[in-house]
This record gives sequence, structure tokens and C-alpha cells, in this order.
Amino acid sequence: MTTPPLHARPRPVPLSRRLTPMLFVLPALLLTVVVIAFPLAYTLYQSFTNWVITSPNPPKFIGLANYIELLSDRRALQSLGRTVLITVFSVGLQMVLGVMMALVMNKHFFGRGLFRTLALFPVVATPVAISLIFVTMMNPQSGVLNHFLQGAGLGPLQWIYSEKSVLPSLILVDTWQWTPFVMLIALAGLATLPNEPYEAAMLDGATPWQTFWSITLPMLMPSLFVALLFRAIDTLKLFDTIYAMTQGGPGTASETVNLYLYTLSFNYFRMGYASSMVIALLAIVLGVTLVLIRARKLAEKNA
Amino acid sequence: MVRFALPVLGLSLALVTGAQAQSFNWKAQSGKSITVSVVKSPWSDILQDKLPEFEKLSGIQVSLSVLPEQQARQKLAIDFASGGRTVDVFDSSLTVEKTRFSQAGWYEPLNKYMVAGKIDPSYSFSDFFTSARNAVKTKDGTIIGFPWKADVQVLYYRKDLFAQAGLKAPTSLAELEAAAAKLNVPGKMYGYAARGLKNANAYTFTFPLQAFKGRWVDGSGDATVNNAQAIKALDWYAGMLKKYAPPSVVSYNWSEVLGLFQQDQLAMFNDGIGFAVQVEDKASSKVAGKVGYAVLPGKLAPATFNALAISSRAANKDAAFLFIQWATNKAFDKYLVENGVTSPRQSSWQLATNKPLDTIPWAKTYFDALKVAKPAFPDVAPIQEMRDIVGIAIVQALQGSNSKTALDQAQKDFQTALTNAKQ
Repeated sequence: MTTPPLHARPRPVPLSRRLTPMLFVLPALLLTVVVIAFPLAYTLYQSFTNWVITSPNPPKFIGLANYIELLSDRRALQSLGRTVLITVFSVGLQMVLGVMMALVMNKHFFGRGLFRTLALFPVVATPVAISLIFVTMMNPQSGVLNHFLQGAGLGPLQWIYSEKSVLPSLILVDTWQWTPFVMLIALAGLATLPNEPYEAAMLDGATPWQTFWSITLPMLMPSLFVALLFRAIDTLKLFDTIYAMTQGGPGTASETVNLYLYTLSFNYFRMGYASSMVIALLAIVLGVTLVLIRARKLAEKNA
Repeated sequence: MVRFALPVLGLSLALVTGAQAQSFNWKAQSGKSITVSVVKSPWSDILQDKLPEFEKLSGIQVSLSVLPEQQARQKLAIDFASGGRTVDVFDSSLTVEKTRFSQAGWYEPLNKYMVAGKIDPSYSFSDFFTSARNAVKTKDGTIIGFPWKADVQVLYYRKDLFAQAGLKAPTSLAELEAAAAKLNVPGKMYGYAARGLKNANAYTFTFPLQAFKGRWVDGSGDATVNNAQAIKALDWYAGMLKKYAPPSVVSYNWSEVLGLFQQDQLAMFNDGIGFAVQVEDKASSKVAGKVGYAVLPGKLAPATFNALAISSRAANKDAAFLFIQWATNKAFDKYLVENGVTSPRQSSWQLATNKPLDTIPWAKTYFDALKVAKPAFPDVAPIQEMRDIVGIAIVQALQGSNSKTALDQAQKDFQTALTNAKQ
């Protein structure tokens, strides 16, 4: 006589039950495909064609020709250089100044609530409104900034009206607008820090600088990475401020990838070529994001 | 004075259109409806006001879409390219769109409509200035729209300052520069200014370019923006702006130049005559009544034109054709002129017989300029690219680069754009 096995093989789950969970995921999946994957795939397809909106001929498949042109397009490469430059300097400044502001605002002093609220004003104002204010302030003849400079005995600057000073001026405006955002995230991070390490540090007689460098900053890192990621992605895509203030000028001195892209597609109507640039930009933004996330993970591991 | 004359003219317009109604069947398409897309301007405001008159006259329903220039252009191109039929009639800037849109086949050719029964006998196409008639024709003689605006560049100058300094309206580049030098007091009164902003500057640069006998392209359609004449023209233009214009001129579009002039800080500038209405507007201009208008030295008048065109995909072309006739006929055109819109019909400018026109200070200059007008830009597809490319070279020259170096690069880029456009 054979005894039945102790552990019977589980009965196979019927197909209908295995499919049920999929059914619940399907709407979300479909939405993702329609909203994200399809436009992306379509843009990718377009980037392999020579489609010009006003051309009488139908778009032709031209393989990698657009991407090859992109590599030798001086204007495209220069605009990429400017985009990177603005991102690095603007975000760098914002991180340093934002953390400094957060440390100040984290102290208890009279009117702190008011100052915190006022500091957030640039973040909530629309970029175009801010741009218009700065255009007025940076006017070389009538602008208030030159008035101050001259009052301090410094020569007048041309601000956004000279090839040399236009990028620093734009970085200044972007930094002015977004530093409070970094401050806000850093403040939230500071609020979550435990007290014990500080008490220990005090007992050990650490200087404020040592405390900041060895305790606050490392513990704040996860929050700061979030701020860095948001700001880096946002600045790479920066458009409104530059368009409203300089339209990429003087000449092309402040033309970033986004501005060139806009000109290519809506002034020159070169949709195929513009699509190849969209894909390239997407790859860059994605690349930067992945590198930042990876860096964060590494930092966490080492911590 | 002009405003006082309006009710009278409005009445006469009603009488004229009433008379036309008797000789021509405006009701032929009654009950149809069309969509008209126009760019926001003083002209579109008048059109909007007068629209009920057309609807009553023809029985055609018109839905009017008014958008800013850039948006209107983008919407049209995308609509046409995607095979849309949402627009029947559109306002077309011939300077920018003519070649591109005709290549794409987006204009309905009008020649076959201009026959008895379809066109009002009193319409008179030949009444348009020759330059305007040429502007609406493609190289093979196809008429792609009816002109409604002809803008010519003229010299705006301060009559009062010129009289004080014992100067006359300049008739040569040398005289223009001498006057600029004499009147220039940096920080207070600038001697001369023009657009410096990339793309926009290409339009006002056309004046020195034509003055030095330069051309954008040669007879076979190849770029010629770095030949000796063009280099001389850029040397002159950048030199004048560096010496006599405000330091931020590199970012000036027409609005900044105009603002400076209206604020009594500029002695001379060249730009389209369309801005004269704003210069003479006492509410916004400190210099109203003090301004002289002259045909540019060398009897030059770079011009741009706009036309009302019918989309080749329009659902109701006959109704659309009735509309563009009505919106560009003699009576309507004269009404526009009275309201400061620069119109391309000769009959609207019969100065000797038309008292009210004598009250418009710039009317005679405009009339004289239109007689010698030449298109500001060539008939090539990549006009926007060209304006950017040359605009960048102008900016570089303004910022201290050598004109030849800047234009050599522009020549290369423009030729590439021309080659690309031929594919």
C-alpha cells in the first residue's frame, strides 16, 4: 500500500485567478502607455524623419541623419554648454545659499515666522512676473541695480544686454527665485534631526563649524539630495525666465537647449530635427538624474 | 480732426457698400458660414467692429479668431500641416510665409475667382500699388491673396530739433550721420537708433543693405550676405548704433526704439510707417506734432506686405472669396486709412481731392515711399532662419566683432538653411 505524500502538489491556480490581478493593473498601465509611452515613441519615430511642417513632401525616413547633424550643429552644442553651465552654477549657488538660509531660519529669533513667509515669496511668484521685474531693474540706463552700483562707486553693468554678463545675470535671477525652495527642504530636514549628537558634540567641546561639518551636514544629506535632484531637473528644463528676459539674446548668448528647441520647432518648423534634440535632451536629463540617484545611494552606503 | 471725420466716412461707407449691393450679388452664398483667423492689430479691431455689416450684406456667418502674431502663425502652420479644415480665411504675413506656404500648397490660387460674376465689378485689383500687387503674386503669377497692409520703412525725425540745429531732412547716409552726430547728447538725446535685437534687427538693417546696393540672395537664389556691399552696410549700421544709440540697443525691438522716441530721447530712427499713429498719439507720446517723416536717404523704402488669403482646404471657398473682397474693397480701405492703418490702395491716398487725408502728417511720405517700395526680404522659404542668422551677425558686430567675420559665418549658415529648404 502506498501512503499518500505528506505534501500534495499544490493544485494549479486557475488561469482566471492568475489574470485577475493583471486586470486591476491594466487601467494604470494603459494610462501610462497613452500619456507617456506613446508620445515618447512618436517623438522618437519623428526624430528619424526629415519632417518640416511647411514642406510639400511627406516626411521621409532618414535614419540617424538628424542626430549626426545635431553633433555638428554649433548652435545646438553651444546651447547645451550654456544649459549645463547655468545648471551647475545656479543649482550650486542655490544649494549653498539655501542651506545657509535654513541654518539662520532654524534659530529662534523675533519675527522668524514673518521672515520665513517673506523668504518664500520668490518661489510662489510666477517666473514671468519675476522676469519682468528684473528686466526693469537691470536696465542699464534707468535700472535700480546700476543706480546702487554707481552709488557704491562701481561702474554701470550691462546686465542682460551684453554677451559677457547675460548668463551670470540669469543665474542671479534663478538663484534669487529658487534658493528659498532649497531652504524650505533643508528646514524640513533640520526639523527631523535628533538632539543627542548635538549634546554629545557640545560635551566634547566641538566648535560650531565642526558641529555643522561633522553632524548637521551628513545628517541633512538625504534631504539635500532631494532638493538637488529637483533643482537640477528643473534648471535643465529652464525656459520661461530666459524667454521672458532675453529671448536667448543678445544674439544667441543666452540660448539654452530649450530655447533653441522652441525656435527650431515653432519658428523654423523643423519638427523632425527638433524631435532628435528632444530625445537627446531627454537622455541627458535622465542620465543626470540616474547619476544623482546613484551618487546618493553610494553616499548612504558609505555613511 | 480725423476722429471728427469718422461718422461721415462711416456713413459714406454704408452708402458705397449699399450701392455695390445693387450691382453685384453679395447674397450668392447666403446661409453659409466661414472661419477667419487674423492677427491682433488695430486693423483686426476695425474688422471686428465692421463684421456685422458684412454678415448683413452677404448673409454669411463669420466666426473670427484673433490671436497674437506668433501664436496665430504657429496655429495656422500646425493646423494646415495636420490636414485641418478649421480655417477658411487667414491673414498672411507675406514677408514670412509667402514662399513657405505656397510651396506647401496652403494658399488657394485666386486667379480663377477673379472673373465676372464672382468678383464685384467695382473691386479694381489694379488700384493696389504695383509693389503690393507683386507681393501677392508668386513667381508663376498665381495670386495668393488680396493685400490689406503695406508697411514701408521711413525716417522718423524730430522736426523741431532739426530746425533748431539748422538741419534738413537727410537725403544721404552721410547727411544722416552728420545730423546724428550733431544732435547726439549721450544719456539725454540719442542721435540715431534702430532695432538691435536678433531677428527683429534684420528688418531695419535692410535700409543700409539696400543703400549700399547689397542683396540677401543673388539671382540664382544663393546667399550673398557676406559680399563687400553687405559688409559695408553692417559696418555702417553697427557703427551708427554704437556711436549714437543707447548702450542697450542690442536688445531693442521696435517697441523700445519707439518708446525712446516717444519719450523725447531720440532724434531719428528708421522703421515701418505703421508706428506713426503711436508717435502722433498725444496720450502716449511727448513728441506728437514735432515729428517729420521722410523717405529714407537714397529714395529707399524696404516694404512688407500682408494679405487676406483663402486656405486651399477651405470648406467654402466662394463664401471666403466674398469675404476677402469685402474686407479689401475701396470703401473699407479708405476707412482703414482714416483710422491710421497703412493701406495698399492708391485710391485711398488721392491727396489733392481728399481733404481729411491732409490732416495725417505722414500721409504724403507714405504715398511717396510706396511708389519706390521694394520688398525688405527675398522670396525664399527660410526667412525666419535668415533673420535669425543675420540678426546674430548684427548683434556680434554691435558687441565689437569684425563685420566680415560675423557675416562670413552668417553666409555659411544661411546657405545651409537655403539648401535644407530645397530638400
